[in-house]
Amino acid sequence: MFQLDDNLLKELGLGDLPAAEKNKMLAHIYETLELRVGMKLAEQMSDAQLDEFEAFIDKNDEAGALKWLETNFPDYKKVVADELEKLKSEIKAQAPAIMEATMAELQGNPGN
Amino acid sequence: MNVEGPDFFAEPAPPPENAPETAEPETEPIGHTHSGMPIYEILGGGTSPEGEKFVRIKSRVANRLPNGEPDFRTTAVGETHVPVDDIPEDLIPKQPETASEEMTREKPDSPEKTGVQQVIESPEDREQKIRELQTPAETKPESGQEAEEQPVPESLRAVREEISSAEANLSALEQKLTDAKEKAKTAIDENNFQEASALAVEAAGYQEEIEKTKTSLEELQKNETMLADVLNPGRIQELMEEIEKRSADNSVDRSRQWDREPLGSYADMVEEAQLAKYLKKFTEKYPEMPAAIAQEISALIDERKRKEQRKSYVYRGDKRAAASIEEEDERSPEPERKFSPGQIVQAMRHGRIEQNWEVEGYPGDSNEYGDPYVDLKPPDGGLGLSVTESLLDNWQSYPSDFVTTRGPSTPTVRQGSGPETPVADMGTMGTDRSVTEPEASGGTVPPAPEPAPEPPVEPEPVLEPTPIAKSSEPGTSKLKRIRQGFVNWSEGGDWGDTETSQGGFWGNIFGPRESEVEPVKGRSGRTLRRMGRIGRRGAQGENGPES
Repeated sequence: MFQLDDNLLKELGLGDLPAAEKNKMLAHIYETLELRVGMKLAEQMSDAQLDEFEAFIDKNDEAGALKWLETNFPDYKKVVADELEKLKSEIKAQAPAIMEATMAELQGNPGN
Repeated sequence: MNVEGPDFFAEPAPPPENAPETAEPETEPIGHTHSGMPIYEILGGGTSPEGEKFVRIKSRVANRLPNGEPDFRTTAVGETHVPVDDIPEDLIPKQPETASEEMTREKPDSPEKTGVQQVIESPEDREQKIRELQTPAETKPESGQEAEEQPVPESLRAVREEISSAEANLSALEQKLTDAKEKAKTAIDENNFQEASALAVEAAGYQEEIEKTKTSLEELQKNETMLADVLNPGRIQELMEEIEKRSADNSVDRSRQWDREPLGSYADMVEEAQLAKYLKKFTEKYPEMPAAIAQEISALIDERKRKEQRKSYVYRGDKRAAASIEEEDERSPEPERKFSPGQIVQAMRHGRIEQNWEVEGYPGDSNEYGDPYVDLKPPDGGLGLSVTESLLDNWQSYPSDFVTTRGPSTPTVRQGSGPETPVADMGTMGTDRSVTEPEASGGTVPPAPEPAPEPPVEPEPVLEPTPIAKSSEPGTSKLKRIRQGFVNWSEGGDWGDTETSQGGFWGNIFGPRESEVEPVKGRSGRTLRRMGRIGRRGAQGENGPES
């Protein structure tokens, strides 16, 4: 099990970001991870499976959707883990630039 | 050194019997490819099964990991293939006419006959060689034919025949229309309104056919123009030189250029060069398909223009106009894709791209700034590359660990306290129609550039680059900025994109937002994210209601 929290940002080299920026960054990580996982899962599903899975989501039946996922795609956790690792690698590579740019932005726009 | 003379025209020839063993490369390369790869030795040449001419050279290539994947962190001298046009002219050996002639001419034992340079007979021969190497296979003249007598390429001839046919058809239809109108007029004069009505219907049918034929004819003529340019390397070179010249001129004060001068002609020229380059690649590789490709690219260009126009509306605050374009796009059917990722790989397979890399994207795909791109991803899930057309010919020289952009990241400028505005990247192949084609619609920024015969007036307020633009040195080339790591690795707008809900100038480093991502199997980004959220929460042990 993984956590998307301050420890993750530290691991990525972004532990020194201001709190507000950390929150934004985590929000981005959540969004990006979910989007990529969704795309990967959709690529692997047949149209019929997509319809079934989507039906749970449209009904806001998250428990049902998760149960369906565990039944039909038992390795979905690996998909999530793989996508997270890829995302982490990408962010790590950009971390110094992000830090530098963030600090420059904050210094240039203290009101932000 | 192989002084037997490699065959650059046909299948790779076997080495001659008495050819010396390939020597260990010298410490210093004999030259470099245009893309920056060192050349220790030219081993020969040939034509791939797909018809692509290549040169075998000794250069530095990536070592292999135990699992067979390339390890770009370490390199060694080894054989690799590069496109012929990546080799400097003075390093390309001359093609002998025949083996016997060559044998009588060559004096391998002669000390002055060693080395690649010595087998080149004269500059004229070399220029002829280059011309022939750069000529698409289907246009290469038969032996004995003069260059001036090259036959019209089959693809171009086919398009011209279609044009002739369409023109004849159009002429016939117009004649029928004229006849029908005259008959109808006569019928009216004779008070034969029943016949006049029937003739009017007939004439309307002809008119409809004429409109369709005209549209088709325009498309065909457009294709013919593009193809003619594609098959004329001089035209591409001319365009590229003009672009470089204009880019150099503009680099003096790029931040103001967009605001003073209408860039339509420049943008058109860049676009033409982009298309020409694409078509050239595919014409060489798939000579039977260029017309179809041209049509597809043309359709995609139209799509791109709509997106750029929408962005220009967004920047000027005209949400209504932008929404109108979005609605129109949603109603329009998705353009049909004719070319597979595998074909893209074939077309772009040089440098470090491995054959088994996955490719996403299609020829003609372009980001919102107009640069074509494809995404290339290794199968092991490692860092991929997003390669723009303008990078393709240069990317071999990039460090292996860098991650490029899916398209150009346009530096932004802030106009007073207003929103940030992209500046056309004049140093690249990109076209930013959001800048070049603004339309008056009541927006506030940026002011629409209009043709200005008057001397330029100092713009107000003064444009100031954003911090990130400073970091990436506005005015430096896109390629340089990419190397510096200041460019987003994927599509998603500018640094400082004010459209992002999350804000922050690094807001787009993660790729397209859910509202921007291409649908997968008809599912929108929002739906895909909700699906992914289920997976993410499941993996994290959550199963409660969505927050």
